[in-house]
Amino acid sequence: MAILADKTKELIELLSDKTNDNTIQWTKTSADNGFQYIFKKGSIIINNSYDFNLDRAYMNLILFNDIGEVIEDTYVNSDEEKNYFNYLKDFHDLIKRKYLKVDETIESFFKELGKDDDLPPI
Amino acid sequence: MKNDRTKWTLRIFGIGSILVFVLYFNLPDTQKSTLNAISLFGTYASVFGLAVAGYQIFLIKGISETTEQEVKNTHKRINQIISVADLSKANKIVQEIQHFIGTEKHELCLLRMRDLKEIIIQSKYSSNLNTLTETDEYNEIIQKLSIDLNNISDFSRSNKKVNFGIINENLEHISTIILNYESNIKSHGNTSR
Repeated sequence: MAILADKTKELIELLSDKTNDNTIQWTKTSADNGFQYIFKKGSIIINNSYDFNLDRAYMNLILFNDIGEVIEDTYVNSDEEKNYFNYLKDFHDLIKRKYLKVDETIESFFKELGKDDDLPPI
Repeated sequence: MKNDRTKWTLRIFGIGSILVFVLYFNLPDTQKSTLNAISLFGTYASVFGLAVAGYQIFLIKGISETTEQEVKNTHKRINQIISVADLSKANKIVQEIQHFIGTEKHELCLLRMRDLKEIIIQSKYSSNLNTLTETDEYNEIIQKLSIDLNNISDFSRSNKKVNFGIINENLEHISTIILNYESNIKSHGNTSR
């Protein structure tokens, strides 16, 4: 059973808050479905992958230090570590939503539809 | 220069000797004796010798300070040349990695990326480059390179999907920054930005 240290959970909570209020901006990594945030003395990445052979999804959270060494690597799968998986998946989904500016895009759709409401009925 | 100094020393010594000679002849007759003459001249010679020794020490100190400064400058210059050589090597490695990505030789790509990371980390601790490497930009290079290394490693091990376009972009960014640092050192002879 993979374990997320309390300090790591605290970091995730703080990053979630900062991501939610758009204080920090994540960027895409070279991994498919991966996001990174670079600190002054390290970085954090979160990846979401799927193993078609085993029919399992994975969440991978990695912390790097200032010289790019992996200092924490948490790898959880959707079958055996469901709680941890869901916890990291929620975090990943939040980042993805913010990175893709989903809310802003939907807001713009609303605005556009609102404009259409002003048009005279046919 | 040295001959001039010797000539001047001899001249001053000569003038001093004449003064001592005059002083001796101005002494009362009762004090004029061979012993007093030797004592007077001996005192003068000792004082003159001490003055010359003091002057020599002062000169040597000046020379040693200048030599120390020159040694420091040469050492700094050699380090700069080594840094430029390392940066050129890093840039060459970036090109090799891009070639291996293009030809899908991912294992070789991984090896060269590790070499590149090694050079970049070493440069981070080079006192000669620290004004350039202690920046957010340089930290970003290290982080992105490490993340890309991790992703290619995962790709080679478990065939996870990797976007080589992003890796190429990151490598291009590294290359640009390295070239910038290299030109900076070459043209200004220092590491200030």
